[in-house]
Amino acid sequence: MAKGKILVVDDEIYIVHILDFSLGMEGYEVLTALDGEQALEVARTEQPDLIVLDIMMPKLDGYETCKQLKADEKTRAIPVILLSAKGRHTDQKIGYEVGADDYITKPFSPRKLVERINTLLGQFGSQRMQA
Amino acid sequence: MRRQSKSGGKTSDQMARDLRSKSELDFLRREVQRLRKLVDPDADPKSAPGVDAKTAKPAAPSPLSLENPFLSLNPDDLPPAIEPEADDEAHFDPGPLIGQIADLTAAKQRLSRLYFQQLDENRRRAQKLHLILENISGINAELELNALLGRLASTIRDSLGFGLVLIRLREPGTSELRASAFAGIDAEPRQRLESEHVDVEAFLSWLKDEFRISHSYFISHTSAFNATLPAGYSPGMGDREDSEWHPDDVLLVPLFNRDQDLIGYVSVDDPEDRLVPSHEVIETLEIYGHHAVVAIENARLYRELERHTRSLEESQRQHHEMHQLKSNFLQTVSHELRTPISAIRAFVDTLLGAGYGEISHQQMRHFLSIINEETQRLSRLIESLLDLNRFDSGITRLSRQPVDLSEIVQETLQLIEPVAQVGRVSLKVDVRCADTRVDASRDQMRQLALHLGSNAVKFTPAGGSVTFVLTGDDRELELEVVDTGIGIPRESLERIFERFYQVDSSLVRRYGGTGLGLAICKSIIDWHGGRIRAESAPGQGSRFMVSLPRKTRPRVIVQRGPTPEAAAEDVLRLAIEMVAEVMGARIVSLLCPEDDGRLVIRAAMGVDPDIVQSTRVEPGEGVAGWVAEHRRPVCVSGNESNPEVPGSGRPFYRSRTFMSVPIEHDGVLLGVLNATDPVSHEHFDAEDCHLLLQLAQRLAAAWQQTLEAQEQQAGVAGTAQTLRQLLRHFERGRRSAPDRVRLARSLARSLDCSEAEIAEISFAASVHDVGMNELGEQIVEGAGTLNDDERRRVEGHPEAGVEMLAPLETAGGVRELVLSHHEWWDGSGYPRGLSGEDIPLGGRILAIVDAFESMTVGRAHRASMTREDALRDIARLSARQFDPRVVERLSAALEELESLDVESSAFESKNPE
Repeated sequence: MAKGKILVVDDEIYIVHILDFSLGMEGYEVLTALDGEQALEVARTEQPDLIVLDIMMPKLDGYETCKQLKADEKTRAIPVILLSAKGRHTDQKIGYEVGADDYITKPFSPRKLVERINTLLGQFGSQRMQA
Repeated sequence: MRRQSKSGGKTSDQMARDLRSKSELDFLRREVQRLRKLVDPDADPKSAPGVDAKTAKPAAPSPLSLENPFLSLNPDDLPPAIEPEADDEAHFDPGPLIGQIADLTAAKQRLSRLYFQQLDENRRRAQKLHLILENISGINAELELNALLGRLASTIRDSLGFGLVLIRLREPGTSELRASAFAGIDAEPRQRLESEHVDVEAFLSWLKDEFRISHSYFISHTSAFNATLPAGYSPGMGDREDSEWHPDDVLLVPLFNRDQDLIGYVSVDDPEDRLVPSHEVIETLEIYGHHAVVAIENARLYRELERHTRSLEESQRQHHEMHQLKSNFLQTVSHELRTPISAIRAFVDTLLGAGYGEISHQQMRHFLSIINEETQRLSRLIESLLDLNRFDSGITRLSRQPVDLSEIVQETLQLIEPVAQVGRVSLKVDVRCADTRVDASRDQMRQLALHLGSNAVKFTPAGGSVTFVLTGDDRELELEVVDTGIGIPRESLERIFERFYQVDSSLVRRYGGTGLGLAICKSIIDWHGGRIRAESAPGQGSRFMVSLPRKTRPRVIVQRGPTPEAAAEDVLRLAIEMVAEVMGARIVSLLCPEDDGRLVIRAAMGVDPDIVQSTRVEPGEGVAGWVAEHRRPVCVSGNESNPEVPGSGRPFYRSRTFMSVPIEHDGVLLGVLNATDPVSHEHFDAEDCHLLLQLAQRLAAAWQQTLEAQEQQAGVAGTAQTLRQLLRHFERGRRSAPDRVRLARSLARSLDCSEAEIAEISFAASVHDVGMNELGEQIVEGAGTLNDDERRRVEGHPEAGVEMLAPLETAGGVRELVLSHHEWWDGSGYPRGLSGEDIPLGGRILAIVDAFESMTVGRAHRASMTREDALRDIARLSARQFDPRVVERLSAALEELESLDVESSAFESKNPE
């Protein structure tokens, strides 16, 4: 039984590869999407436990995708980690404004990301139990 | 001669009966005396009849004066004098006396009528002057040239009563006077006038002294010269008498600017009073003309200023855009660099963190190959960025050589063949011209062809083709790369040469591009002086077209001069290219003298940049120094050396033939022009030298023009500065200026100044303190005493003001007044320490107006005084600080202004609007 379902969204195929590998090793089931539109679709139908979202993507960028996820009743509760090469403070601020739960700057360590994901899901898990 | 008395309606006999008593007679005598005095004030009262009859002789007939028509009463016509000693009243016949009285009463009435007429006339004049001033300020306030001219024409028509007014202006830079404004002229003749220009020289030849009135010219229809004038526009005016204005009469007011250059003229016709205009009317016309000149020049300057402002705004906008582009570029670069680094870091991190046996050997190899690929991508990106930067900063020193582009295409085909085979894309070459050579950098051409070729292959799906086409003519060679690929959307076509512009970033990345390839291509082609463009039909394919000039000129190096003007540099560059072309020389240089007389290379072709920068030639040193000193050309051929010219025997660069000629303008040495290394490999001869001299002369003229243009630009900036200062000054003094001007005008009038003087003084009163602008607020408005430095600066303000006004004030009058408004009557004022009548009257008036204003309006450091206190203070300083004559008239002038205020406010209250 998988620890949970994680949706990884990035237009950089190698990033998707490595996250697929790292999260798979950790025991998560990994879903992937290469752009924002695809991500929204997968999120609605698959109801992942967490979404790792790149910001600079074609079609629909990460900010907009996050906004729509948080506006949709069906996907609102799913925690979102923004993953981006945009490292400026204002970029992070926008990230939190559109409803992201965490923000990680590229280049990043997949191991640290996995730790964050574990923590976030643990927290949410306990919150859910309380509720 | 008995006359009916108008007032009483009685005959003189009746009056005689009424006036019997002695007292009445006394009264009558006194009345006669009084009236006589009135009629002829110069008459000696002792000799007046009736005062001393014994000594009375028949009074000398006072001449009939045309100016005093009311003096038609000649004393000889008067009845005999009254005998005051006559004791016997019974013998007194009052008849003649009564007759005298009747005549004198009539004269008195005429006198008073005339007095009131005169008064009316004066009022009318005052109103007219007021109107003129208003009109002038209206004209002066107009900054748009056409509106200004239209206003001037209609003002002249309406206020001076000319049916027709035409203004012709000289378009700057031409010698034509063009019809620029009209009043009272219908559309049809107007069009004709607009299409006919008057030549400036021709116009000036009309201005003969015999026609001159004041500063204008009246060419009567009776003058023979009139017939030689070009037909103007003469409307039918009906029959005219000889003394009246004739349709062919011409009245011209030429408009000269401060440099005495003709800028246009005003021509008037069809006066409504049918009279040849009086001197007064002509002078009024000239007042308008004079102010129009200033206003026209202001409007032109303003237009110039606006143009400058616009170009400034434009360059600011471009600068902003550049900044934006740079910022976007940096952001993109950082993203593009981070992406491969992210991948590398993520894989390395995973590999490092993995426990033993967690990652299979196969997976590890896969990870390492990805790291390898991303590392290469990163280094490609960095290479490309460095390439671009080299082009941007211009540090690329590429050598050009004849390059056969068909060879380059073949090499490229070999390089991309393997990729094309994998993608099943066929490669073709189509050479459509015999000569495929071009002067270029071989490496750059390879890079260009490779970029375009591999790009085309990348975006072409299996089964498609990529074709290289070479076409060209004598001047250009064209390389086309045509593919049958996915194409480029129309909206992206213009932007694909921008850095990191990607039609679809995921697509580019999938194909391993950097997003910089086309930007680099564009830089390469720009450097070669060529063009690149693209066409595309999405889904069908793209076509990239590169045009390269066959021969690229050697670059001309221009050194910055003391005035770093882009235009001047262009002139130099073109001049050098022209000389190289005409003389067939590979090496051309222009040396110019510095302030210390040493020659430096201002512009050169075919000379090493380091030499251009470092060369300093002493006068008399070497060939160029000799030419500069002797102002004579030198031509050296072969090994023969000119014993007169030092250094003429040594070789010059690669060549043994050398020419050097001076460039002069008005006897001033502008530079030395050198040419060497002829393309033909033959020696320059005397004919070549002569040709080079010819070129040098033209170059001198062109260079002089450039320098003058630069000076003019500086002049425009100076005038703009003046306008700004004046504006600031007016804004600051908006409240008090009108009072000051009115007071100055009133004083000037009471001191019998001419209209021109009054106009000058009024204007000076509005600007006399413009020099105060230079002082800080704390000095002008601040409390406390001034320190030495501040005092010096305050005392410098008249001079500062004059300097500021210089570009605008064409005549010296106003400047003179501004300069002297702080002079004291006793000579202790500043800046020149003039005294008494040496100070211009206007300056003395301004001194009082200025003092009165600062006393009554008050400054921050001085409370305002009442009018009476101020008058007392000024009176106390009469003959010390102020001219006593002006002081005397101050209170009357103030009263006059007040009464005018009352009148105008009474008028206003009657007319609520």
